[in-house]
Amino acid sequence: MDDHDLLTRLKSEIAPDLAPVQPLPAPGLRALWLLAAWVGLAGGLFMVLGFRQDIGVLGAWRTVGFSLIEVACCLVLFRISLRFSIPAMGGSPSTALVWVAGALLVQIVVSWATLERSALSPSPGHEWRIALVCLSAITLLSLAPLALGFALLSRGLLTRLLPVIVLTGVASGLAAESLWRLRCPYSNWSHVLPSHSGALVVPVLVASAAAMWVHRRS
Amino acid sequence: MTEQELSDLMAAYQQGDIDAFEGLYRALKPRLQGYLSVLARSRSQADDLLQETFLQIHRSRRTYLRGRPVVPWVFAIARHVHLMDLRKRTQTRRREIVSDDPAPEMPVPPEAEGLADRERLQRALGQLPADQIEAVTLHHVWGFTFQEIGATLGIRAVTAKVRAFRGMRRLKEILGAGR
Repeated sequence: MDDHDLLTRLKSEIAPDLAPVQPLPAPGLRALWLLAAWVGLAGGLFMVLGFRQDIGVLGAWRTVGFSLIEVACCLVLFRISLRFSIPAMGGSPSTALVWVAGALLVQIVVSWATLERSALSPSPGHEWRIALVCLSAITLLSLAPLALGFALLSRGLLTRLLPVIVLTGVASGLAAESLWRLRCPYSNWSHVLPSHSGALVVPVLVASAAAMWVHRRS
Repeated sequence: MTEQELSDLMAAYQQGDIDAFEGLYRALKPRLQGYLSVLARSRSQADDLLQETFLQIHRSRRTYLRGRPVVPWVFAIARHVHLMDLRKRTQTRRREIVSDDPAPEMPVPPEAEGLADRERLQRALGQLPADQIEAVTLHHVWGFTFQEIGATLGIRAVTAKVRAFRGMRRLKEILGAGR
């Protein structure tokens, strides 16, 4: 096909679809939607269920303050994930994974700092039931930021699936955990590690299915 | 054409200006054709990828953010199109009759041009690993910075620099050894 033929063919293919498009806002701005979703979920959750029973012992800084630190990490991960939906903006996947590791470390440090002040643990014989409640709650709460994340990602072009899956999955799970820790009063490691930190695996699995679907559509 | 001019054309194209698309096509086609000839195994495959790249540019035009360089954005889309094609070929287990379809001519880094004739240069370039030849041509032929190569290929800038350096060194070794 010579040059003129190719240009003519391309113009005839794109001509019916030439309506003006609005360029996507910068990833940092788009990531702020996560904050709006978090505030909405927080309002609903605490109106219905209320705060953790040891909030008086922990104080505002170790409850809301620590959760906002986790949310800040989520915003960073979300922003990096959205950058991977803009061609030539994503950067190195290994650097992205370093940020994920950092966010997970923040969640561990927050949990440790909470445990230092309040060491409530589930009553004997109820550990499994409470673990299941926390796992389920965090998984359910993560669905909203996951859906939001992939709605935003689908407007771009996913060129690197694995970093997007890990970044969006962990960000959504961490956003959910930052909410649920304001409700769950148990801070001991045998509860927090499997039921809160471990709950972050499920959103990553859901994110992998969502990423494949978005990728096939683009 | 400068990056500013390309950026202005992209903005007009996003507003639905088909003449702006034609301007972008004329400005970018030679470079894209050269880049896709590095990635593709045959001339017809490179031509197919070129067409699909411009169609993908059209579908993804809202992802171009004003003020960012156009060329790395376009090359990243071209690379994505190539990888999707490679995956499709692997999944359908299509066998290319490469012997009947000539290999595309690859762009030659200016530093290597005087070292051998055209045929030897093409053979030498074909012996480089795929990741090195990409970095070499992006940097030495099209003037990408290592940051831009990193952004296009999804690697760190220092990795891009190492690949380009090793690729040029290997190219010179191959050409020197053949004398």
